[in-house]
Amino acid sequence: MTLRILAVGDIHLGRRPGSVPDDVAASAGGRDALGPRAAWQATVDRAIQERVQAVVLLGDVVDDEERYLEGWSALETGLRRLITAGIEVFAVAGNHDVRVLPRLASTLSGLHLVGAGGQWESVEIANGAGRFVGWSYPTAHARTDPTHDPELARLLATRSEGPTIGLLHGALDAAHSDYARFSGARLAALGADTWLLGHVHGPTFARADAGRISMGFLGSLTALDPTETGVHGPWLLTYAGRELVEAQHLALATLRWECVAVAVDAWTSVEDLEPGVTGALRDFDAREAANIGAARVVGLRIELTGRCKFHRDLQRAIERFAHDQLRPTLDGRAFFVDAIVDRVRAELDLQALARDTDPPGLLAQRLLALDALPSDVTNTGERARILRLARDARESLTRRSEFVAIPRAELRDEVLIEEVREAGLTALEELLASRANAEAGA
Amino acid sequence: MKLLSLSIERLEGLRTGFALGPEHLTGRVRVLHGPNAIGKSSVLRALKCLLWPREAPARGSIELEARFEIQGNEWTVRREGASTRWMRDGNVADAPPLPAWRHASQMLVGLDALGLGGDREVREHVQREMGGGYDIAGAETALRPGVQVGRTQAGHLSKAEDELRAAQFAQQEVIRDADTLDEVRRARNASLGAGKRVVLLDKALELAQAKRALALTESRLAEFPSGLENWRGDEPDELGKLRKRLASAQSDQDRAHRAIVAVERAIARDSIAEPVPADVLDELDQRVEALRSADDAWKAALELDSRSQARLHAAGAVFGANADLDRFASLDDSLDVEVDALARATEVQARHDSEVDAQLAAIGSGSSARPPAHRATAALEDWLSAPTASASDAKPRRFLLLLAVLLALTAMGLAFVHLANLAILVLAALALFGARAKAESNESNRADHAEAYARTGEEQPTAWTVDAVRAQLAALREREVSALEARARDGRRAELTARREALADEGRGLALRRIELAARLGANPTAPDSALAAFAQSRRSLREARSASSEVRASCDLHGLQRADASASLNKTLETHGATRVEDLTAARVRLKSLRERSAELSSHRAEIEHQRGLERVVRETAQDIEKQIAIVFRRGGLESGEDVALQNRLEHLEPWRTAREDRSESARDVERLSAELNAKSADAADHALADLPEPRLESERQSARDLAEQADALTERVLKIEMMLEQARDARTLEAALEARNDRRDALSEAFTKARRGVLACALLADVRAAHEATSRPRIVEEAEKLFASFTHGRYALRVSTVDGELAFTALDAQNAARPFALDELSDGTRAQLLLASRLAYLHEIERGDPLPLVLDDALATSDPARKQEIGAALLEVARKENRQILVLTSDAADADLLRPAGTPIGEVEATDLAVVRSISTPAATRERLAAPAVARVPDVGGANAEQFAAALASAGIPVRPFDPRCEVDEVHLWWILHHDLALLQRLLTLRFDNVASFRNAARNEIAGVGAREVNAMTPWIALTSAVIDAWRIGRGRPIDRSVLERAGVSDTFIERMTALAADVHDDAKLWFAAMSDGGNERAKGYRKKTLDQNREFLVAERYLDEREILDREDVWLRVLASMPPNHGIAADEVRQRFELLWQSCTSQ
Repeated sequence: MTLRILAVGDIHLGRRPGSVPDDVAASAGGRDALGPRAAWQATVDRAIQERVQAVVLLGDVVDDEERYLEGWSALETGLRRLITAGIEVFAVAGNHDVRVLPRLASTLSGLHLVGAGGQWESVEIANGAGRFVGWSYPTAHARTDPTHDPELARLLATRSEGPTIGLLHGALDAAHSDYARFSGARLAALGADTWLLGHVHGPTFARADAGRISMGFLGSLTALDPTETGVHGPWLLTYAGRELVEAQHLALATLRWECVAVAVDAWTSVEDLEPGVTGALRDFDAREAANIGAARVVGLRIELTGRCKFHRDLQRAIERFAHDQLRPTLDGRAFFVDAIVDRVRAELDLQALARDTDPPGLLAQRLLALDALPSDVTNTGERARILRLARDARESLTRRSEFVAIPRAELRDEVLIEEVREAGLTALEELLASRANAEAGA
Repeated sequence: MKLLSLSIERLEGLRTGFALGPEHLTGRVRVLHGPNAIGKSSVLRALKCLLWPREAPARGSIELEARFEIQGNEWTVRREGASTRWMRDGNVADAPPLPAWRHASQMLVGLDALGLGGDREVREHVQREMGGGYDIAGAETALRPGVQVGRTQAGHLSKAEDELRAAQFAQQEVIRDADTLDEVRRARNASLGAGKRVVLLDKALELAQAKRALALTESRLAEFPSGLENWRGDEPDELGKLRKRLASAQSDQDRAHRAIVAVERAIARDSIAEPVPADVLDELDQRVEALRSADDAWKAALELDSRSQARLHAAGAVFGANADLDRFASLDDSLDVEVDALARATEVQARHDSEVDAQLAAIGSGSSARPPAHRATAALEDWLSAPTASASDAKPRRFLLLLAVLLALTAMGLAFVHLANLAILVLAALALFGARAKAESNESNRADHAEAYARTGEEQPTAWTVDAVRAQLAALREREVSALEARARDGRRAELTARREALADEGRGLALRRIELAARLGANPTAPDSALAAFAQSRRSLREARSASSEVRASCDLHGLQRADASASLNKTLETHGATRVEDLTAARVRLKSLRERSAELSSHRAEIEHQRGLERVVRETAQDIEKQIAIVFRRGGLESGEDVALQNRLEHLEPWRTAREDRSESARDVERLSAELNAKSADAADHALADLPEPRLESERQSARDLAEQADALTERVLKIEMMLEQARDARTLEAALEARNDRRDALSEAFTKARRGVLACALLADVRAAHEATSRPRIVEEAEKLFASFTHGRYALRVSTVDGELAFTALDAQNAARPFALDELSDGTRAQLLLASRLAYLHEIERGDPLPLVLDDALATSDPARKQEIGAALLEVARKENRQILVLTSDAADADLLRPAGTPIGEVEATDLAVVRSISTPAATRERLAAPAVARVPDVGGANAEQFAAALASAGIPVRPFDPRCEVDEVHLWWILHHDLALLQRLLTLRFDNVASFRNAARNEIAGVGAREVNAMTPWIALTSAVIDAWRIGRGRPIDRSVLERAGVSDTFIERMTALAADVHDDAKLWFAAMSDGGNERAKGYRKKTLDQNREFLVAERYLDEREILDREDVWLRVLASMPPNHGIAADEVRQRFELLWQSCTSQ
């Protein structure tokens, strides 16, 4: 028996894609045409077109409980169309739609909310061709691991001819998350044939456990911000018996974000900046044309990497570069550059500089200390001192009233070291330039 | 390098020149003193113009000269306008090596060079040296995130979050309402149902009320006397009318009876017993009429007879009294015809005769003439009709021809060649020829006529001129007409004569006939025809009169008989009816009339009696009927006739009874109607049962239902509103937009944070590096400054130079208490001046290229007290001694020379020059007075005055309180603003001559009596508050700029005037100044280099003159002030607020 399901990850209706320039959005028909609403409508169209037996929503259908009204109409309309087309619709509530989905399920008879109230539940699909075992958020936060509920094990212990598909919206392997954290290993061992996961916007759905099961996050239905790069859309799953024979990620999202790294090592001057950026755009288009799907707008972040001697000039050139004027249309898609990120390192010989006791030498010594090996006791101590210094400085910055809105996450040493290295190199460049300027002025 | 002499011949701003010779400039330290405007600053300007002519260009005419001793050589420099010339030992030479212009301020120290701000150039140099040649501070400045970084983004984010929260809140409201929608709908439906039940209950209640009203009216009806239903209520009126009618009938009956009696009496009085029947009366009438007719006919016959007799007499009179009338009467009537015929014939004959006579008279007499021959007249007419030209007519033409010929000949004789003359001649000839032909034709005609006359024998005209022939022709024609008329008259006369003769014959015949007739008539035969006619007429009249008389007489007789018969018949009839006879018609008529009248009267009486009797009977019957009706009325109420009182009593109950009865009927109808309506509206048994519920319960239920129903509109409206809000919320996308905006703002802030983080970390590393570097290395300039400072302070203080928070910090360590470093602003003025002098001299050592440069201090010590001046003087002298450096002190205070001279100083080391003496200017007395220190004013007592009153008292005492100016430093703030709450302390401090914060701090620092820790502790929080207000107010405003600031910012002399003017234009506002400079269209900014402007900007920002942040509003300032207040400041919150309001008010009034 064949079972075809369209699985939909976080939709976040009621939210619009940010960081898209107004003119680009307008050229594509407005922000709505690039956001979750349009993606949801395309998904519904596709489900009807593919004649799937069921559509399942993996939570966070609306972006915010307090904003669900603005997504309500689109959601309700889409669901009604699916139900009218004879497609069964299932959903688990995520942390964003604890109230919305139960409310909708109570008014829409064709919508099955699986595991309502935080109680694992098993429901049949397509007259027993398969079944969903799912769990919905009872409240906006779930601080316990729902996979430890014995009811889940009980439900999964029952076998069926069709596939048993687990549905869960939560944080994978996140020890301190308030959103139904769970262990991937445990999940794989629970006995379901497939685990469809929601919550994380980057799609990771794949076979796991040596191909024994398939599991992973479906990803957001459409990219909601520039960090959500890659293909976004629903998954078309085809089962033959209990086996998942095909998992097709449908690139239905009309907006695509990508981050493109451009190495500057071969550049000879800042004049290479513009051709380098435009070349990166063309390369991306040529490389990804086959996978770009329904995307009508492509936003790129250019990350400049490598080393160059003219880094300070390059920094200024980046600041001057009017990347927002770069709006090529390639293969009928509107491309734009969201930002150019400078990850270039100045070409400095830290070892040589560190031999002196002048300020650049002292600074180079500190930067080298960041890379100290554990055996290098002196430098590891120095590294620890520098990191303390950096933490204090950083802390003083985050205490400033203007930055209190910046979320304070745990700062790992690796991240801090990278930040200190970046800042130190910049300072070193500035210091060296000041001497050069003084000599030039004299 | 020493200045030996200076000659200022011309310099802008100086009216007259002056010269300083060696005698004015020698000495290690030379104090040049003099009042203001004496030329002290001119000395400084002159030196700049001479030593740096390129950087200090001349304005106006300039003529200067100076002599220097440089490395043992004498140098002279002269400047005239833009031209500068150096001479060494009398020979023209290049300029000696001098420090760069930017170092000029190190040797030529201006007013504020030793002030609190220190010297930027020195600081930068020291800082750079301390960084091992690297500009660590510069790098830090470049990398350090500005205070503004992130604030704008944070502000935007905060605003976006507020908007998002607002939108979320609005949506939550909608959702909350939506959650209640079903409940509200149910409530609305219940309310609508209650509305319907209210209607039902209203009906039920109405029914109950109607039933109660019915019962009530029935009980009222039972109380009335019975039988009222038969009363109509108008019975008294009816009885009144009936009784009135009864009385009237009885009256009529009496009246009829009396009439009968009266008529019967009248009948009794009448002469005739019975009335004469009408037919008898008619017969009598006929008789009388017959009598009258007979009488009239008889009288007419008599009259006619009388007239006939008269005519007869008249006719007889014509024939005379004695004529035989009978004969005449018997004559034949044919005579009358003949008489008439004769009269007519005579008349005709007479008329004809007179006509003939008239015609004869008209014709008259005369003979007839012979008429002229017609031929003669015809011949004359022919001749006249012939052509008119005659020989006589040709004469003038001949004359003309001749004249023409003569003229032509004359002309030809004069001018033979003229052709016109020839033409005239030809024309004249032709005219002459025509005239001749015509004349010949007339002559031929006249001959023909003469021949004709001859043939007829008629008289031929004697003259043949036209006029003569015409006159002759007219005479002939007149004669011809006269002859014809005479012939006609003769014929007629003959005819008339014959006729007259015939008429005469006829007359004669008539005369004969007349005679005959007269004879036959017996008349006079000569009587005219008229007499005969009258006679005949009379005869006919007579005859007719006689005939008529006979007839009349016969008729008269007949009528007399008839009249007698009629009279007899009448009398007979009268007698038949008892009437007396009558004699004549008149009497008959009278008798008949009387009889008729009596008969009629008698008949009338009898009819009247009958009438009255009938009337009497009718009236009687009517009265009986009325009495019956009256009885009926009484019986209707069960009364007997005449019970009027009882009737009245009954009737008084009638109206209330009727009202009661109507009420009952109405109530009954209401009950019936309401029962039907309630049944119609009732849907179930419960509704039907409402009809039986008691009224109180119904009212209670109705009130409850009504209360519920009244909510229907509100609930409906609420349902609609919720639905509409839901609809709007679903379509609004407000939240989406707000979220998007918030995310964008958050991203922007994150980006700013990333930049700031990089800068902060970089600065932290740099600070670490700098500390490490400073710990291991000390630049020469610092060592030099430390040595100098230690020397100046005689070892009491040691200089420490370090970098704190990126800023160079000069601190002094007290040798007695090394643990307590003093910052610059914590040092006394003198010590601070010593420190700065030490650092400046150390810097001078760095930049000098040869001999020590002279050090010129221009009013640099003005703010120092005498003790400090003495210390500075000692330091200066020491420098001068050690370095062999010339030091010139320009001051307005002559006492400075003494103060700067340490005790025991050998003569000649510290000298003074009075510039007023040099310039031979004696200061006027008035000026001296003005320069003299003002009299010390007495600070008034506070008494019971409040702060404002005390300020007014201070102003009156000449110690005004300066307004609070947030652009000034807190040190300059008047203590009134600090001690607004403690006027006693204020008064005490003012009495000690401490009027601002700086003076108070100095006093405290120097432990002046009366200013101790208590005062400091009391004032510190208030000063902090004031300082916080100033700091917050300045955000976005910066400090005012002026010429000195611009100079320090690096504005060159070339531009300083323009830039200063521009600063004045923009009210010394650095932000506006910079905006104006950045404006390409500003004239003053033309030619100004962008790089220089960037440097200016950097300085202005660094020195807080330019603050690019947004200006804070009142509440933001207040928040900052609160945040800036030191912990545990000990001031009540409301006092802080009041003081803030006071200061803010002053700020905003600036």
